[in-house]
Parts: sequence; C-alpha cells; structure tokens
Amino acid sequence: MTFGEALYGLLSADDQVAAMVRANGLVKIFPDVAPQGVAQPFVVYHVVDDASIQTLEGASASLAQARIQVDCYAKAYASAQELARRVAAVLSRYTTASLTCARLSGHDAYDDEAMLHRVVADFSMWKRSDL
Amino acid sequence: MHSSAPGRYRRRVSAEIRVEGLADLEAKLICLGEVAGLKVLRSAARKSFAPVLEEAKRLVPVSDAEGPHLRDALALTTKAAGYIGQNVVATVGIQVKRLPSKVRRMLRKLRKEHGVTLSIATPRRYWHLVEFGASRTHAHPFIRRAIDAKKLEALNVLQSELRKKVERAMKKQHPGES
Repeated sequence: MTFGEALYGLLSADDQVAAMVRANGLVKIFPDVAPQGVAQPFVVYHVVDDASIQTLEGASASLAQARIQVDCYAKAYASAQELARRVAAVLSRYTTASLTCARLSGHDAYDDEAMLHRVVADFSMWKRSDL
Repeated sequence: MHSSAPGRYRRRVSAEIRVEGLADLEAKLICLGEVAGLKVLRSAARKSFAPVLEEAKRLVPVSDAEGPHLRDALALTTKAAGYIGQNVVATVGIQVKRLPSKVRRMLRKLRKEHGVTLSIATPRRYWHLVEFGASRTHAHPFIRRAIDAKKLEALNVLQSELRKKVERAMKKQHPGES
C-alpha cells in the first residue's frame, strides 16, 4: 500500500470527514490536483517526499517515511478550517504498529484561480510493511 | 532541527536549527558576549545551510521561458535574533530575492511618470505556487525536500563550523591564552 492509498483510506473511513467532502456518492479526496469543475469543499494531497530509511544494513525494505501535504479547500474560511481540523484530528490520532502519522506544520492560503480558501498542512507518515 | 513551511504572504522560507547537546560550545558562545557570539553563530549557520540551498537549486523546476528564473532568485538569509532565555538564537533560511533595485526603480518611474503599470511574474510572486501547488496546479516541492534531504549534513557542518569559529573568536578575544 502506498502512502497516498493509506492516507485516502484513513480519511475516507472517517464518517465526519467523508460526510464533509461527499457529494453524489463521490468522496472528494484527490491526489495532486482536483478535477476541473469539482464542487467545494474537497481535499487534495501531495506526497512531498517518500524517503527510504537507511539502516546499518542498507535501505530498509520494511520501514518507510513520507512527508505528505494535505490541502483542505472550501468557499468559506471557517469551512476550510473546520475540514482541516477534522483531517488533522483523524491523522494525528492515528497510530498503530504498522502506521503512524504526525502533523508537522501548516498555514492558511487563498487559491486565486479557484477563489477558495485553503488550509495547507504537512504530515509525517511512517509505515512498516513487515507486520 | 526544525523547519517551517511559509504562509502565502511570507516572503522567506526559514529553518530553525537548535543546537542542543553541545553544552560546551554554547557556554563558550555565551562567554564570547552577545555581539561576537551571535556573529559566530550566524556565520556558522550560514555556512551549514549552503548544502540545503544547493539542493533546493538542483530540485527547483526551471522553465525554458525567458525571464527571471526562480532558481536564480534563491539565496541564503540569516538573522541574529539574540538571547532568548539561556539560548543563543540565530535564524537561517532560503529567501527568494526581489528584482534588482535598478529594475524596481525603472518600474516605479514608469508608473509615476507615465501611469504605466507593468505586472511582471517575478519569482517572489509565484514561488509558493511551485512549492505548494494550487487546487489545479501540481506542487513541485523543492525547499521542503531540500531541507529534509540535507538537514543532517547541515547539522554536521554547523557543529564543525561552530567549533572552529568559536575557538578562533576566543583566541582573538584572549590572545595570550592557549
């Protein structure tokens, strides 16, 4: 499972996040860019850096870490903030033996082209595939 | 090391390097006094961040179009913040430079004297779109990837540079002592 798939799985499995971004049966969580004409609110994620973990025996085959940027878009500033808070809550609390997430940083922005408020947050994700 | 991602309206991407576990060096830095200590720290921080800047320049996308390229506008910036509690603090980061002052003067003159406003896509205006993308624009992160890739190297350089510069500054302050 890739980091993107893991992130999508976590967010779409959360009832509150899914309810916020669902429309016409589509859960609007997209990798890299949002499709043209998609209605707000929605979430876009980018894998910034997918690094292999170096050990004394070389690159680890089972342990991997990635920095993932998660952008929450909405027409209203408060809605974007609320969605971002929910996303952060889902990801930050998610810790199992095989997957861990932690929020690193974040900031607000405005998408001039789409005319939407945007909350950008970076998360660090670790996964173990040998468990 | 702690790195922070910038907001849209902030013009500088900075990284904070916290020197911990180097108690002897920090004590010597404090001994040097505020002015000399900060000068040493700032200079070492600048040198330590050079590999991060190089990596960012390597990673940033460069288009074939003419005009000011983002790669050429990347530069190091440092600021000596002073003493915060018991810690000596200086910040180092990568900044996106403004247009040369000659060009800015020319644009100002055009606007004031002829009422012509030229809108130039300068790197400072669009770097955040490259780093963070937008809803319909792919992100090409170059600063965060550079920091992640080079932070350990930066810390190693910082440690050795700091040691070298602190010893040199102490010798300069107390020439007779060994």
